[in-house]
Amino acid sequence: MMKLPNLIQELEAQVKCCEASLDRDVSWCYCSDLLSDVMANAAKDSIWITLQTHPNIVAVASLIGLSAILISRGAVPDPETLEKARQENVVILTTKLPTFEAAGILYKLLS
Amino acid sequence: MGLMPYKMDLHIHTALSPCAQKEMTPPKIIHAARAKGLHLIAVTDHNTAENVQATIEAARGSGIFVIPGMEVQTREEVHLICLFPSISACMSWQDTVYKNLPDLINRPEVFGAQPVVDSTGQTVRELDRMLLISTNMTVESTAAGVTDLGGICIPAHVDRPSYSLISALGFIPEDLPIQAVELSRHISTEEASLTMPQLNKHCHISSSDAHCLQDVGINPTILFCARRPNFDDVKNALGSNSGRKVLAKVKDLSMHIIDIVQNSIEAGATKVELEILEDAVHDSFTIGIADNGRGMDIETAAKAIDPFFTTRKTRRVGLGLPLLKAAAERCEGSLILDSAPGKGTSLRATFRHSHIDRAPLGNIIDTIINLIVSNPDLDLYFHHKANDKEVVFNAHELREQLEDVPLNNPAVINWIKNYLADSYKELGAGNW
Repeated sequence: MMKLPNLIQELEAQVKCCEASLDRDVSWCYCSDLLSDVMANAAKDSIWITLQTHPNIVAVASLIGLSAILISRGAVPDPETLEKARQENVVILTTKLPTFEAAGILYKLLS
Repeated sequence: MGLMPYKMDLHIHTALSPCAQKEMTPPKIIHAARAKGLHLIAVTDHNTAENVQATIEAARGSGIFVIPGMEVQTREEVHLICLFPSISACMSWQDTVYKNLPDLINRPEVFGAQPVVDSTGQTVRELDRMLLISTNMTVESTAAGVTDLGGICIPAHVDRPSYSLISALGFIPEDLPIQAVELSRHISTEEASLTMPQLNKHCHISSSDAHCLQDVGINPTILFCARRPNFDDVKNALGSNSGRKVLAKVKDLSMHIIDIVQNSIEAGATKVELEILEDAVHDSFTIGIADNGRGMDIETAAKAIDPFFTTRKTRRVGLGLPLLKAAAERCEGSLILDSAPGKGTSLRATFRHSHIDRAPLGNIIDTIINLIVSNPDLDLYFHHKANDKEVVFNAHELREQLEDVPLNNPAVINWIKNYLADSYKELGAGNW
């Protein structure tokens, strides 16, 4: 279990919204670009790494109670996605790292 | 004006889709569509429409209406069927799609050839651009762009694990301008309604997604229309608020019967009575099934009608009863279940015979044969009465006459098949 701000630093990630809500615990990580799969298999309080930038990612994160969404490989979230994330208080992060490298860093820190 | 049923298949690939068979040329597709009794088809290649014009030309004089279309792969890896009122709207859409496709060259040895063909099926040239890849457009911008051109946008094969709106995005985004959802050949509209309730807000269509000739028209949608339908009729029917005019694939009643009898056998039944009653005077169609299996207590019986109850842990087969119940209720009918431990289970499903949603009985002879072959020791009593005529088959009687020969002996099966076929000739083909 780690605090979200420490992970953000290690991932060199940018916070795209909900800067005031970063005081969250992160227990694990889930990587998938199929939202139906994330809904079925991701655990609460995880970081979710994805390339999807569609507004539906916010609903999925909020439904499961994820700590944050990390959009990898420099992909840019849609403005509507960020708007929705602010409404739902879902933290969205971005990183230039591809999914494998971001997951590698998180695996070392969280396991 | 009376509405007539027309068959349509709104998702057909030509040879231009690298994953489709080379045989998918315009004249052969039109020929296959006619053979399957289709009235209307849409040509929907992956991210391209370069074979649409040739298919429209090939259809001249055939009586088949061809809708210009495309299957777009969005940035989220969602496949959307896009249909257009004219070839010019479709080609203008193709310009938009090409601008949003990554500039990559196809590798025919890996992905397949991409021949642009003429109306006789001759290859005019190979399309170099890579088609089997996501465009840079979102689901929203695609649906909006198609709508702006007067077109129709339909998420493809929403029940599938790959390239479907539901698998990629989890659920259908609110306010997405779509006119219907497409079900693949793997699911009926009743199963989709029960397992994916979110689809019920939308009109269902079923399509073949044909990549080879034999698949053309295998999973058609029925469109009820006052004239031979064109694009506007499809668009109006899909968006219709005044009564549904589109019917996606329903499960044949024979398939329901197989599911229910399977339940009986798994409940230890050695005797099953199957009765089908068609009554023109009362416009009713009734299926009765009674077994001597272990039966259910009141609580279990109530749960058995609930779609999310099943006594088996892994297989999704507990839907037999809820599906039949839903099918009956959609046709102004009902399902009554009577069961008690030690007494067996009996059920009676009634339908309004002439209801537009009443599924056909399907191939009842194959159904009976199937039940006998897989359960040769079952005492199956079958009775189909249509008005004043009837077909009867009694496994117990036949077994006594045959003495030691099992019912699933090939010669016996053949005899039963001929016996049923002859009996049904007398019943009249129009009834079933």
